[in-house]
Amino acid sequence: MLFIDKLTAEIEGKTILKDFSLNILPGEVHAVMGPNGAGKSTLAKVLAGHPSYTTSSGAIWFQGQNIVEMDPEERAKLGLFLSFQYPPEIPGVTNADFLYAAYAACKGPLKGPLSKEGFEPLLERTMQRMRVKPEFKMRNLNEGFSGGEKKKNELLQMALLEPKLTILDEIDSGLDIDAMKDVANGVKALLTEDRSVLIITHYQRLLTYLEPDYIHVMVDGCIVKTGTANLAQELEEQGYHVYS
Amino acid sequence: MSTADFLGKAHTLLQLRPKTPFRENAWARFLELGLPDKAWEPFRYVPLQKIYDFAPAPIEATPHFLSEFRLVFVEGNFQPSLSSLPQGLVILPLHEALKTYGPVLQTRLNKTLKEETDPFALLNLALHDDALFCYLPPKLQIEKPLHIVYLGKGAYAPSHLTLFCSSGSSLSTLATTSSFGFHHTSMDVALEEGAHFSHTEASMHSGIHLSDFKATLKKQSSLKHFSATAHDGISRSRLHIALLGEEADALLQGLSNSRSAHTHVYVRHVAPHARSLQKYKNILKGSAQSSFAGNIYVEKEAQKTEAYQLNHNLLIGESAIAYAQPNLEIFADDVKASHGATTAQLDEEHLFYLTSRGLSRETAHNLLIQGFIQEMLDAISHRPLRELVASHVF
Repeated sequence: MLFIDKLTAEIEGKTILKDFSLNILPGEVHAVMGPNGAGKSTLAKVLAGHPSYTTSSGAIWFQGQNIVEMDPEERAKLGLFLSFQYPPEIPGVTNADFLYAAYAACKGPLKGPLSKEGFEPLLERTMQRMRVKPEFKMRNLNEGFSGGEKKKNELLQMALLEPKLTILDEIDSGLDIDAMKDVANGVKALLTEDRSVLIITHYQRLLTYLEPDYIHVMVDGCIVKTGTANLAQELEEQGYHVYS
Repeated sequence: MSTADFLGKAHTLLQLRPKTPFRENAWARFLELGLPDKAWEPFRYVPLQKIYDFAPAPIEATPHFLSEFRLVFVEGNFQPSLSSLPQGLVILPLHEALKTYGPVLQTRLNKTLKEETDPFALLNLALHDDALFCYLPPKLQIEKPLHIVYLGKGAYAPSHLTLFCSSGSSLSTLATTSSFGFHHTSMDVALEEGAHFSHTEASMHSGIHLSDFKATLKKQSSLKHFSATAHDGISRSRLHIALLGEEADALLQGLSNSRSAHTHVYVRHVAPHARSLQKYKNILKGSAQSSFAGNIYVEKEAQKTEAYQLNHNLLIGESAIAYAQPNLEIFADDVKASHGATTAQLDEEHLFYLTSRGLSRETAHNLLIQGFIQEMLDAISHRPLRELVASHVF
């Protein structure tokens, strides 16, 4: 599914990812945890193809292709989805318009063209399933949304686009326990045996509700330890400094 | 063309007009001020030489009629046969109106001549052929909009309209130009107590568009003014608004996507408890230039004034430039006033968010531009005009 092979990436001359490697198989849930400055968010952005980052060496194999040279839109069409830590507010663009454009771009090539009218029922069904209020549709993209609502909007997109690999960039940040449980349940409901999830997080609490198959500790641009779900408890007790 | 040549042509045109004391005074005042150059603050960024170099381009554009009620001007001259008026609205040539509404109108015209500081406004008053006077009787509320259509054959076309809205009356007007020439329009609006007036003007054709709009607002009256331009030529929209009565309200807005779009707004708060908002957005492609000069003047007695100003510019072109100059002079001490201007390119983070969902960079671009202008389009309440503007501005 995803094989990151000794990836080194930098921004504005500063190297953040250093020989980073990771292998995720279909159906697996992986978590990457680490202290501030480890490069966790960079990892997410580099995987999604953020133009500010350059890859100086290594490869990212996704769905059998090296996506390192690909634009973000091409990666999205291959089935890669990044749930943003801080989804931006985009005034003047309705949620409905945006979701339709995203759906048409990602699913269009596979499922054939779908008119806006044809998309409406699908959107409404998905919104109901994800327990998103109907007024969401006509609101501007993320504008005035609370933290929890923004994260819910990310999950709604995930439900519509059905990505092969979902990267959750600190999806638990800024959420209270209940909102976090909702998010965890939302993600679990979308998991299938051919889909994988990469959770990037600081804290272990999300992992109690969304149990990973593997936990990786990332320090200073690469993975220093890999373990199973119990590693989370260890990190909670010992902290990250043991690994630096 | 040098300014001397331009003046020469203007003088020639003046000779063709019927001689009246008012016209002669306007010309004299104009000469006193003289044609502006770049050193004049209100014209610093306006491409004056291009205006002085204007040469007629005999190309007509197809007009679109947006309402059953219309005032049609051809080359600046009112055409009664092509027009269709709502019941109750009185229309007279200005020189006839001076006989009927003499004192009030004469005072107003004299005041204008004495206090006017914009040379182009004075030039219009001197050179327009036959000004139109519109009178809206007390309490007459006209539901359907009146479409003011400026047709032309590509030459210099000055026109003037004075509108008097009696107390409790209401009217909305739409104005569009249809030629590639030099449209020089002027509107002077008097709003009596409780009168409501809304004006939306759109210039979608290349050429030169100079628009002068003055309004006085008495107690509890309201004004909505919207200016949209989207073309390859030059637009200068000048607004001069005086809030003379308590609880008067002025909402002044604009949207542009033109090669050269300039807006000069002056709002004077004379009475207390009045409110004004200036909100202008410009999109600049290629090497387009825009300028926004927003002036707020609050007199000492105008307590509890609320006066706001916003100017947002989106630079799409590599060599586009937007100028924003706020100017606030506040002499009352219990006032809420603010101004804000932003000039930015499309947000890269927003582009990344959209492209990470599969949208092409171009689609993402367009979606963001649409997002930028949407709230301004929503402010145009007349649907066919909104669609016309949307089709050109985007």
